[in-house]
Amino acid sequence: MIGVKMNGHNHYRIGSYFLIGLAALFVLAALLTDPQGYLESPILMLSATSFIGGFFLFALGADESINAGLASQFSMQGIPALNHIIRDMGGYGAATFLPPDSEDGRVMQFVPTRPNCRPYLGDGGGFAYHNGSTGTLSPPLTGSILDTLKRDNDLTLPPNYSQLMGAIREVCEDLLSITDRVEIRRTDDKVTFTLHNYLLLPGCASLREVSPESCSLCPCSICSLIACMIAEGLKCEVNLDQVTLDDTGRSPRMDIQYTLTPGTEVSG
Amino acid sequence: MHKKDAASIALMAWMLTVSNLMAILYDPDLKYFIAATLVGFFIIVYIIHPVFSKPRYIRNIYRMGITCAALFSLVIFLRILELVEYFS
Repeated sequence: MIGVKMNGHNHYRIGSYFLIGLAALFVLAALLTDPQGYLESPILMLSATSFIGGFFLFALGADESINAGLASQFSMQGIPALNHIIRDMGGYGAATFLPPDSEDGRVMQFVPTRPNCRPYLGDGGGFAYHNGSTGTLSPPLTGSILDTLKRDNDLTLPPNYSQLMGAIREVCEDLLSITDRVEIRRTDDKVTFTLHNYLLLPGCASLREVSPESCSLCPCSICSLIACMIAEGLKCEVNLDQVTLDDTGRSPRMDIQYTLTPGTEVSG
Repeated sequence: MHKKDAASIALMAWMLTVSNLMAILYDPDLKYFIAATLVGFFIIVYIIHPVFSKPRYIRNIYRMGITCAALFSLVIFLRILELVEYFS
């Protein structure tokens, strides 16, 4: 039987129960070996070591373990269909993440449409104009996740570049725990994130098999979340340039490259 | 390796080092051992503590930190009592 939640696979909890049990055994051993001076016994210190270690692991293991493979498939549900709809509407190129236009505003995703699709769509109603091109303007796929992280985990997005990169690292490594380590490199206006041992890689690989250009046309999961965080934090436009998957090494790796540009006006 | 894994390994290594050093160099005393261990625990929590967010596990660590702070205060209080008794 398969399930997204992996019962009995939370190693922190298993380790904590083991250490707390071991602590009880050490106390018993200390009492049995030296009933009078057991308080000075080194075995009692070992018991305290096990108990504190077990307690620490118990506190760390608060999150439920999930089946990463299934979770990645879940997160990709509907994305190929959405890409198909965007392409049918004339969407092409790379989506642009636009910064919020006010304090209470939110990040929006602009997908440009082909110029020859405009007559077919009539007077352009419902479409937005940005940097001289027509396109669709919609909330990004991970906009709601970002709202949840802000509400439930007190996530703050600092306006400073280096601090924002720290926040992105924290979200990927600690908050979502979807990667072991995030490496960030910047060259002029291009920023590359390397996610080492990325857990949701199987889902990304299957999506790219179906439609390789979908990553830049309508970014999903972590690519969209990082772009939203940059756009909101630095108040700049973000484009996803390319995504490279590498599962040949010992740990699967994903490189995501973005281009950052200062914000410009959008009219709808 | 996740930060959480490194933190738990560091804490265990610190506790084992302290207990061995106390057993070799000094008469083992549970109170001092707990005090030294908790100093290591607070340093590790300070290092792994996220700045821009509050993951679910860190709330448990905060609760554990409060318990440990109370325990640490108790050990220090007992030590002060011992010193007062010694000098009076």
